[in-house]
Amino acid sequence: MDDAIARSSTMIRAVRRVGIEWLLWLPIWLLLTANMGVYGKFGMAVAVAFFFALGLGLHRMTVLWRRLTMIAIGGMLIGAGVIWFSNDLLAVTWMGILLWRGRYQKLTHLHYCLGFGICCAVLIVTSQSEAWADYRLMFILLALLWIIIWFMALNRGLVDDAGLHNGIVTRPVRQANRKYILVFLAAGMLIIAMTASYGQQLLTPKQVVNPNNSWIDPDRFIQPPQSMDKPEWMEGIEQPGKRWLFWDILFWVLLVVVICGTLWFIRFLWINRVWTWQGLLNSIRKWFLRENRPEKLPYLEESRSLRKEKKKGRFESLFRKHNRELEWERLSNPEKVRRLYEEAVLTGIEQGYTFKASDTPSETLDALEQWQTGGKAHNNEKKATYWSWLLQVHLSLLHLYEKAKYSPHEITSQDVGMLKEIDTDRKGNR
Amino acid sequence: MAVIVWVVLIMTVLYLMQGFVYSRFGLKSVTYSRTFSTPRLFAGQTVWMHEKIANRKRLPLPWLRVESLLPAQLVFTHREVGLSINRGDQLQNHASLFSIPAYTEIVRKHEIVCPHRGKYRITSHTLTLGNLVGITGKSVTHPANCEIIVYPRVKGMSEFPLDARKYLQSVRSMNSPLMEDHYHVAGIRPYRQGDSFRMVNWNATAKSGELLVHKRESMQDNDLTIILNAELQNATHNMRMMAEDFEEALSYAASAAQYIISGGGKIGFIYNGATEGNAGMIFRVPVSSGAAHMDRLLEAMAGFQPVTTLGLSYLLEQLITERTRGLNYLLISAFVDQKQEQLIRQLRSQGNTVQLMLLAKGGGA
Repeated sequence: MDDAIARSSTMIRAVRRVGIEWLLWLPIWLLLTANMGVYGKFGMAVAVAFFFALGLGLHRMTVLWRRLTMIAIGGMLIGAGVIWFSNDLLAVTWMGILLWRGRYQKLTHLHYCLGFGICCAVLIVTSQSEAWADYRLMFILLALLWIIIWFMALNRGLVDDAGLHNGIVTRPVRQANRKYILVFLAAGMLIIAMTASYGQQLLTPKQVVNPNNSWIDPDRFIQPPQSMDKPEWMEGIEQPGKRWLFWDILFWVLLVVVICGTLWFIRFLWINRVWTWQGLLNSIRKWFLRENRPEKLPYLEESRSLRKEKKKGRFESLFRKHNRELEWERLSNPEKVRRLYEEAVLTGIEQGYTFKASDTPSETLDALEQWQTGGKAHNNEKKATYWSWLLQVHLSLLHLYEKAKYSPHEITSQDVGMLKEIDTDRKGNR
Repeated sequence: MAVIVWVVLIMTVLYLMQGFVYSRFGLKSVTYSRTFSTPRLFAGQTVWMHEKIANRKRLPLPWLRVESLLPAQLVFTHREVGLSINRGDQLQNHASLFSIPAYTEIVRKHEIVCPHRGKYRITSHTLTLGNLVGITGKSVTHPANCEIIVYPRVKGMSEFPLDARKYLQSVRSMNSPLMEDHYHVAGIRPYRQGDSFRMVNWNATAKSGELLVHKRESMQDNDLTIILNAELQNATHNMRMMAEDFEEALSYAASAAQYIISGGGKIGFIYNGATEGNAGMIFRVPVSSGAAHMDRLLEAMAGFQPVTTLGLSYLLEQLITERTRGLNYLLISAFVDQKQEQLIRQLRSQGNTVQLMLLAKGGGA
């Protein structure tokens, strides 16, 4: 039973590998089969898959036999190409390359890089002819797809390297790294999208129009491009604007398969409707649970945010005043009086007064006044406002503060309002 | 063509920029610490090792690997998956991989079993950073000061040989230790190491010319001095004791000490082998009581090495020349030869009790 499962998984892996290899070479296939009919295209697609699968199969042989077989098949391919398919020598060589590439059982980021390179090469080639204009977008999209997969595969490999290939890379670490590489790619794509036209303009060689090698702006002086003749190797290529018969056939075949599959599935659901619905629901539930199930780790892990410890930056300080006013509204009357006293003393300390913790509030305010009259305080306009305010509210502030701190008597809002008004006037005068 | 070159150029510039940012600021405001849930434990017990890593900046860290060399005697209980541990005879390389978002602290707790006695230190750790693409970037090594002390395993009294158990029980159950500070003086006796100078009988000392102290009934017999022999080879009998047997001997010594101290008695300790930090000297601790004394003894025992600094025969001769009387000795050794037997008899004849506990079968003369 286990052998059967292992065999089927190996088969699935091999089929997937052949499929991806076929996608890697898709632009080349399109390029080389451009002048072929439906059967030619289909035959070439099958040949691509066949030769690569053959290469994969050869990998199961011993090294010596594999090399000998590969040399023999390669020789036969070249011979057949020279004798019978001299016009398609490029395609025959390609088959040989595919056969050789069968040695790569596993895909690494370099293979996706190859996919990107193939797309770029085909883009360069097709840019020579306007007949391929409709295909360029597809090639660009394919190139972007390969670049994303390439970087993700590269990132995965690098993270595995970071984990010393010892299984310490946990799922959260892998997911986080995937997220970061996608952010990096998205940023890159955004910048490229915004600057591509500028880059194209910058990197396009400017034409020399006079013998003294003086560079001029091509937009103003270069003549509109003349229509180019097709290269020899592209002779006979059909106009790729119209729909091909192959795509029509493929479309209808796929449609029939999809309809048959849907009908079969509906019938299956109807016959086993109770079991099937329960099974479906269970499967869905399991899937969600599987996603949420924590990874089994050999250690306990806890994480917490340190944002509360973060220092306030300039941006946050813009809102500090607003918050301070909100805080003021939340305070009770005694707390408001204590806040005013605290601010008064703090302002004095800021100006140079040495605060003594052993002093009573009365002594503190007296000492503040004496210190100011002694001429030790700064005498600029801003400071003068503070001292005049303190003189004005000295007694009332002290009385209310002592009341708030040491007595059970209530402090009315009017008392606080009087102090606050004077304080606001002071701050307004600053 | 120009677009492709532009794409490659932009991606290269972006890659270089992020690489520069990560190499410049990646390890800034990153703190790492490694602690044990308890700094002291007995052999065979488990402890939690906490790895605390914090990233106190806006820049997230895609991956950060922490590697450190741990003593191989610390065994991770769950090491089958998700842990990179390459074990050697003395050290093991332990690696942890983190992905730390901005302003985040991660604490990992590993369960560790400490099957062997010893003092284990982790002196450094290496942090290696990966950038956005995943390429390995800056790597720094920081010193660390993380220590765990594993005491010898403590046995129950039922695991002792019968004669040793009887002896220990008799020592512990002699006159009540509560009477130790009784003001009645029963006589005089020679001064012993560890005696307070308040106990010196100056008149008797002046008359005899020898330092004499007040003898109190409750104090003389409730003390036990453990002598642990570090010799693992006996050339006479061509016998050799293994390191595991030495650990067993240490375990017996620790168990006997704890048994006596837990009963209110006093323990002295003599070890004729090397101790960590005091190579070439014998370890000798005067009799004393209390949990603090027991902790000091256990901590010292954690650093004992099976390397002989003074032969047992010389040690016994030294004890005989000290002319001690009324002392209880528990001698734990693998072998005893004829000369040592003779010396033990001599020690007994001076008025001391000596209980021999041989670990190797047929280790007697």
